[in-house]
Amino acid sequence: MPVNQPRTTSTSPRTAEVTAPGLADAAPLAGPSHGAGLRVAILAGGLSHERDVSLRSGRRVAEALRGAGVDVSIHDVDSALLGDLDARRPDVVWPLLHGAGGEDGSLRDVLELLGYPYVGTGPHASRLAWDKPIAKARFVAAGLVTPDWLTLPQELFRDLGARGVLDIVAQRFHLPVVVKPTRGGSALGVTCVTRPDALARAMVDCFAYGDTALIERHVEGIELAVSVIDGADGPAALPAVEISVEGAYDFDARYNPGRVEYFTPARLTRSQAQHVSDVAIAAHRALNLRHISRADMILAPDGTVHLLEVNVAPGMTETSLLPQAALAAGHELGSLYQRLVALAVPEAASAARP
Amino acid sequence: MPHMARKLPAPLVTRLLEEGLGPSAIVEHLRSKEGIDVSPQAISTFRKRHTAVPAQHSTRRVVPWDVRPEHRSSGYRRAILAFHRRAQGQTLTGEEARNLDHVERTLRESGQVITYHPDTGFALVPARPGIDTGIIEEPEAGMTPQPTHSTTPDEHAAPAPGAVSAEAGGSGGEGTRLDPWFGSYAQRAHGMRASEIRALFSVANRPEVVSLAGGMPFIQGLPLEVFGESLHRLIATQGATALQYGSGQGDVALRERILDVCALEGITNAHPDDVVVTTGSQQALDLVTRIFVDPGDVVLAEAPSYVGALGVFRSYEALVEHVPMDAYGLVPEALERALLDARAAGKTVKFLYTIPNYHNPAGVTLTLERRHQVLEICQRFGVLIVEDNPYGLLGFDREPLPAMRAFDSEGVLYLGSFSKTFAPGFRVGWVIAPHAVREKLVLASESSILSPSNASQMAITTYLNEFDWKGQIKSYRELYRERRDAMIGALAEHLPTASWNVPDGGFYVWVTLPEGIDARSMLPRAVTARVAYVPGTAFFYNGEGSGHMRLSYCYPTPERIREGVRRLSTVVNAEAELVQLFGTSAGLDEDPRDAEYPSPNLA
Repeated sequence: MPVNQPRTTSTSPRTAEVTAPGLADAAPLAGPSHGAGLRVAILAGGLSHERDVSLRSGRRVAEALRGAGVDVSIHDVDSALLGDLDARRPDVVWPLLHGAGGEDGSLRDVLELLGYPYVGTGPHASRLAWDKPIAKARFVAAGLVTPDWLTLPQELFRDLGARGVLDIVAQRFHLPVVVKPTRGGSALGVTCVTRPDALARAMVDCFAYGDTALIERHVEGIELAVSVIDGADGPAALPAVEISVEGAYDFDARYNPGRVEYFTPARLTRSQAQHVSDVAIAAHRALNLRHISRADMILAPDGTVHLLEVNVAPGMTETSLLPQAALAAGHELGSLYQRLVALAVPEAASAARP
Repeated sequence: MPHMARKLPAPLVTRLLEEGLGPSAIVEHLRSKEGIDVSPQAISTFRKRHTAVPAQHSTRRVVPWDVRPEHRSSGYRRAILAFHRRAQGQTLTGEEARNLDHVERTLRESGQVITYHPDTGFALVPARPGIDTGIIEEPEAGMTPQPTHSTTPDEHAAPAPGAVSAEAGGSGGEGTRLDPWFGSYAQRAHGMRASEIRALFSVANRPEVVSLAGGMPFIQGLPLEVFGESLHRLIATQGATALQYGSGQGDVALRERILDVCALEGITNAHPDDVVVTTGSQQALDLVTRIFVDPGDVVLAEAPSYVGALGVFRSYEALVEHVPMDAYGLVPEALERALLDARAAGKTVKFLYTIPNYHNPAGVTLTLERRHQVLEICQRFGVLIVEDNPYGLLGFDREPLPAMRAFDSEGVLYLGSFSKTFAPGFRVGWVIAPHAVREKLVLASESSILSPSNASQMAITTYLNEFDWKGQIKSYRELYRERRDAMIGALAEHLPTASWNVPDGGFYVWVTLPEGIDARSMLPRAVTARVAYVPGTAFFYNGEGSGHMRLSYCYPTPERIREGVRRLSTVVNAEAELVQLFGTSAGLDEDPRDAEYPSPNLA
């Protein structure tokens, strides 16, 4: 296992360079407080549109944890879940649920009530991050840049007439714009609209996923994802992943290898890399997130970093961005996940373990 | 051969390949601009292994500028690349084609061409008559493309000590497509991709969801315990054979019994030697296509047609022409017209693929009169018929019509299956073929699977010998009829704005949605409402069908079917309101190649 020397010169936030930032000096590497010997229950599946992605994430994380010697079980979110958890009595629960139920905080509320420690952000903060317009308002309040946006519920179109509203959007916003559901991930229901006559179709595709649309100004630039691991020393960014895609970074591009070329670390200057790391950490803090998050952003040619959204349950599949960043940083996935699990265990409980 | 002194500058070479340069031109570029000596073979190998770019030999760059990374996703650059690919006769994706159309129209209407400058990006400038004849501003004659500055994508990165530039091939600049073999796939594999639609089906097996999407038969109706005892005896007494390799053509005892099954549909002129047992009739379809279809050959199929067949045809690079059908099945006049059109266009039609009974997905049956017409037309044009008949014995109201194979043993390949009348888990189907075709099918099957499963075949023979299989089929017919009635009744009650046919057998109802609704676009809403269906586009080779959906009634109970249709009605009503609001209509599926159907084990 590669052990990274703690950097002596830099203080948090750390720069995302080729070596692993963050967890290296978080804690010693052995012992039960590091996850080995803990019982972990992974939650994956659910009934959201992203069930398939969640199942893949769950299997990948379970496999990595098992490889590191952790006792892992995987559970779907269904009527058997509470009974299964009760029977298994996990030390830590790791919700790897994407979409409604998983990221909106509701399930985390239940975990809190049941008193299970879990990996990731708490219910209240999850709920804020999950709602893209609310999160964007937070970014602005924190002095971060996010593309201009409008939030348009379907009723508004009904009340004011679709044609009129779409004309205003096209004029006020100038195309291209990105139309997306205010909630949900994996680019589902997302369209980049370059022509006024394509707006109506984009709205229909978006409203099939939810009743409110976010219309965001499209920003040209380098597409980046910066994952944040929030260890004992506070949040640290993993190296940025640059997404170079032919066409749109849509569902197909995300989960079928081929059209996307990923560069990890991203092809950035040192100061750019520092800047995007700072933005990701600032966003993580602005939304009061915990343990793990991933910020999606665009680095415009003028050097501005436009923050698109922050995910409280980043994808962990074969083609997902956080695992790529972790590997590039020199982490071994099993031990990284193991340490994330350990972070969730309350101090007292881990100390009390034999 | 020049010594390969340095690792290939991967991003640069990829870009040059994408921009249409051949290996020797790239070698020249690397030598003059980068001072790197490599062999053309190294470039070719790199292309095959690491890119999806087809081989080419141009000495001229399609995009004659060194485009900075932040400008590479520009629609103009994509249009130039698409323009080039189209000129080479390659197929564009729907999105590429639309982008290119749009750009070309703009250029034509404004008399402009595309140009590029690293500081300002892509832009349009007036075309110079006689010089800019394509879609780009041609570089000055005699000048090499400028600037050479920023040829490496991370040129603007600070040269940190020991920094790995893309040129050095270090971890700093090397991109990954997460699939080291991405550049190696055959052309026919490029459409084999999961889709947003397919991912949505993932919820269909959850009990909360009423799935009207799958095609799983209702196996719970079988006498499983008694059959289990028979299987126990089979393995105990004949295990040494059952668990051994079998013959490529299939077990003769089963082939004899298969003829008993076929006799129920009027096929009395076949011999056990004419039968080739396959791993489901899906494999028969694969073998038939393999031995008949060269890339570019035409296969005729009904509109709509079975999604699994379209997938096979696509994987052998066939072109599928759809032939319309109506309430009486395939329209003979339309078939003749399609054959004449293909002949006029100089295309080779290899066979007609047809599902004459209780069509999947359309639910209709080809009338007896039309069976004779279709046979006559195909005989006249010298075109083979592939008759796919998994549902023929599952009619609700009458005895089966004679198979087309019953009238013509030379011109028809007949595909049968135990999957719907007994159990799909054994994966046993068959094809009845004239002797010369059969010889090839056997060899093709051996090269693909050596032999069909002996254990499965002997289990089915046991079932046919020891159980009242005809009685079982009769009880299936009653079960499915009840479910069909539940679905049709619920549709009439809850979805009066849609229209559908009333199938008199099989598993499926083909629903035409109210004007404007796009079944693909509506699917996420259905998933939210806990009901699933298959959008009509899955059953078309050409992206049509979005105004339809296929509902199956084979697996859920009547009560669940009614609940599913009730949920579907709220989905359709909400979507109807939405499309009315925005005035959109059902559109073409932009990429009909990707997988937009549930996997076979989804309810």
